Amino acid sequence: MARVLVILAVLSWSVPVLADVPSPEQEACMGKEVGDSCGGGECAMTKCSRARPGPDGKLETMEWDCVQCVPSTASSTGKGRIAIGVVAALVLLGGGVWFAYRKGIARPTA
Amino acid sequence: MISSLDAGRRWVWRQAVRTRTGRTCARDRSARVLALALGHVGVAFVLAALGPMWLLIAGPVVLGVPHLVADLRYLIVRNHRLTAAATIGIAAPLAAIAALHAMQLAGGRADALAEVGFGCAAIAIAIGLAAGRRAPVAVLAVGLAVPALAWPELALLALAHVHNVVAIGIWLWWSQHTVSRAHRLATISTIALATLVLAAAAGSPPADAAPIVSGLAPGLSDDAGWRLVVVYVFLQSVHYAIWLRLIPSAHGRPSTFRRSVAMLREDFGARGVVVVAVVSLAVPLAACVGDPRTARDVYLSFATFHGWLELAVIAYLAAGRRRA
Repeated sequence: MARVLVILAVLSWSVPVLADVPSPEQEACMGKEVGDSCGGGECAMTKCSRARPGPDGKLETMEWDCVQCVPSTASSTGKGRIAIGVVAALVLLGGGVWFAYRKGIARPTA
Repeated sequence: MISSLDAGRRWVWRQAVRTRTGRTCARDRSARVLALALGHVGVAFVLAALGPMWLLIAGPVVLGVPHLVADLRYLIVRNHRLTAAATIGIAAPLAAIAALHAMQLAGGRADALAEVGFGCAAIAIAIGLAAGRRAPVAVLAVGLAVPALAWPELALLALAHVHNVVAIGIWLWWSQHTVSRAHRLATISTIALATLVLAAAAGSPPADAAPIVSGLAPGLSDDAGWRLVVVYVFLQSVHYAIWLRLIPSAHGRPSTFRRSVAMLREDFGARGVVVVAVVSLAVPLAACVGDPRTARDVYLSFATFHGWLELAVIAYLAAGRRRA
């Protein structure tokens, strides 16, 4: 009987503790910023909530701002975005080098 | 095709020289530029008054890429004072801005501070590579860069509005030897008067203007914000006319379409002309086939670098001026 009581006590204590454990979505964005990529999506500022029994025994819902992983509406992932950015930068930088070359001043040395 | 365009051009000139104004324009470049300016300002005024929302999308979609080409042509290719090293030095931070915007289009977040930082870096490099009186320009640049870096979102908003006026300033500077003072004054006065009339006459914003008003005039009331949007649309159209018609006209004699294409090939090379033609057609085509707003947003996102390019080249030219 005592053993059962101990198990029940541990379980009853552990439920709220488990509620404080970050969800997989929050965990995926730990140490990251809004806009960073996370598995299959990107970190976004959202509302997290939890329900706990209040002093009168009724459930009270708490809400707070939290960063968690949400499925990306854009199809590109973080790496894809970086690749797109690199391509855009190369196009513009390449244009600059090309213009410089055409000016006939900075001809490449063979 | 080009022959037909030239035949049409000859016909227009034949009709024009039957009038006294036409004959004056034919022999006097300054008068010709004034007539062009007043004509384009008039068209921009009417379109901005009648269909500002339409012009807001159609302007960048149709004229955006060609004006960007003119921008590169006169600021870089034909700007013989800009050295190759300065061209590459300015292009490097601008490439980072293009990367930021491309990543934002792909779902990333906007980073105003990074954009302003790279823009200021382009200006700093331009001043650093100029050979002349750099100190006063550097002091002015730092004076503008500090608040811009402190309030980057506001700085980008200011750049969006001021950018249109910068084109007018560049034209005034570059046309001082080819267009008479009276004609330049008449042009500027007309633009200013048209701006005031549009701002005063703009009514309440249409229902679909809310995102544009909040984007271009955040913090203002609906009516005041809409006035600013209408003014923005008008000045944007004027700045297209300046890059595409007034600056080229101030640079040389009236040219046939055939000669214009040959000069474009001279400036950009044969392959460059093909790229220019393809990209110039691609944006309006994308707007016709897909969503015009998306086509406009994609164009504007990539074109953002040229606002900083103009500031950097102006800083370079100003810092490169030597004592008389």
